[in-house]
Amino acid sequence: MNRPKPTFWTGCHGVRLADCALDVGQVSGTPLLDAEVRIEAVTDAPGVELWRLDMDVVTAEGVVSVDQRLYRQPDGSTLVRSTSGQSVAVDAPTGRIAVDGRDDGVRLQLLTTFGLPLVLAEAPVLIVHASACWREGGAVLICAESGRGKSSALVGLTAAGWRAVSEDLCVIDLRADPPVVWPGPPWVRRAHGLAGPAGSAPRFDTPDKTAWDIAPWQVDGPVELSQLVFLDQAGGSDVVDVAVSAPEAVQLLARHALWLGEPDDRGRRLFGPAVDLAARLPARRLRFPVSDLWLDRLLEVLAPGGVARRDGAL
Amino acid sequence: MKIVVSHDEVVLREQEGDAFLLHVPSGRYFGLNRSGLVIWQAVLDGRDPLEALAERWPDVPAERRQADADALITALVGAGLAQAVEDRPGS
Repeated sequence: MNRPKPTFWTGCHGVRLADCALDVGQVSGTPLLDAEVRIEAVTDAPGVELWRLDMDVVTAEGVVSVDQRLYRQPDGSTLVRSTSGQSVAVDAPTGRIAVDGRDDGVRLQLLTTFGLPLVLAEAPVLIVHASACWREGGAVLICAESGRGKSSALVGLTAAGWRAVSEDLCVIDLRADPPVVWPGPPWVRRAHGLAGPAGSAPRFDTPDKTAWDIAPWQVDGPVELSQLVFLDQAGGSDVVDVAVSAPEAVQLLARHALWLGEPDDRGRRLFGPAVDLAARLPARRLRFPVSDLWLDRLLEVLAPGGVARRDGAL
Repeated sequence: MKIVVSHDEVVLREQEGDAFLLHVPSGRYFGLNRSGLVIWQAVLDGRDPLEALAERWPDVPAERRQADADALITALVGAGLAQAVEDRPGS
């Protein structure tokens, strides 16, 4: 029987973008919602500050100060603005996103990191700081704090024959059973000096990272999730691989979830989606000793039936 | 002593046979096992948790039911999910 050819559309993270001048990839599947992206000056009407990121990022070229703030504007829309004047404004009910950045790299980063998550505010999803890779049998979601190996895991798993799904942020679509994870943008961002997948080319640079192309290795539509992995900071002398109970998984998912709304609403709004996901999927915590071989250990643990022995020798 | 729950501060969600509680002020999440859920629902309904456990598991020794109820209620109060209040005449 001939299957109908999938229809591809421009977008990622489950959001179909109309007339988008920015290259955020092409995927198939029933989108979560439609949105419109315009590259234009963002009107300055900050409103109430909801969230602020103020930190110094150490890069090969020196220290880069990052100051980003999220505002709820008087008309109910949201605005993310950096001190350097780069902004993204989102009106979720109408699906309108306006991006204002000095170049396409910055615009792409603003759109995918803030614009799309903000426009998904009312969608049936959980957005998690994680990377995801797929192979026959399902996708693995690898949740970790910044700098603990999400991107390295994606590159390593891709080299081992897995397909990339998304790095850094993963949009988990809870409409399906089992839940599915949507492809993110077709790049993996790595610190300057670290390569992407073998044969990959850089797509753009930001002050702290280079975005490497992963399109040739990426799935082209949402894929079923089969397990949740919470990656702890490397340490100790043994590999630790322990099953996580559903209540603990709820807690961990909520900790890794992205929340760009009112701070007081965080717990209540993330509770349902986190429970929904944790109750439906097995979860484990992994910790690897500090070693260049940790990706090999990860591959062995994630192999079908692979379990790390508690004595640390895989 | 009566156990009460603030409906504004605690949210219950059941999923795939598991039950979870959210303590809204702290944003912390908790899991309930099957007997925990029976006790929780009895507290919500203003019923005696021991009676609810006896109805659900009549073959379990009374001492065991008492120990389970005491342990869970102590945990709920300790986590701020419920409060123990004095019974007042007429209340």
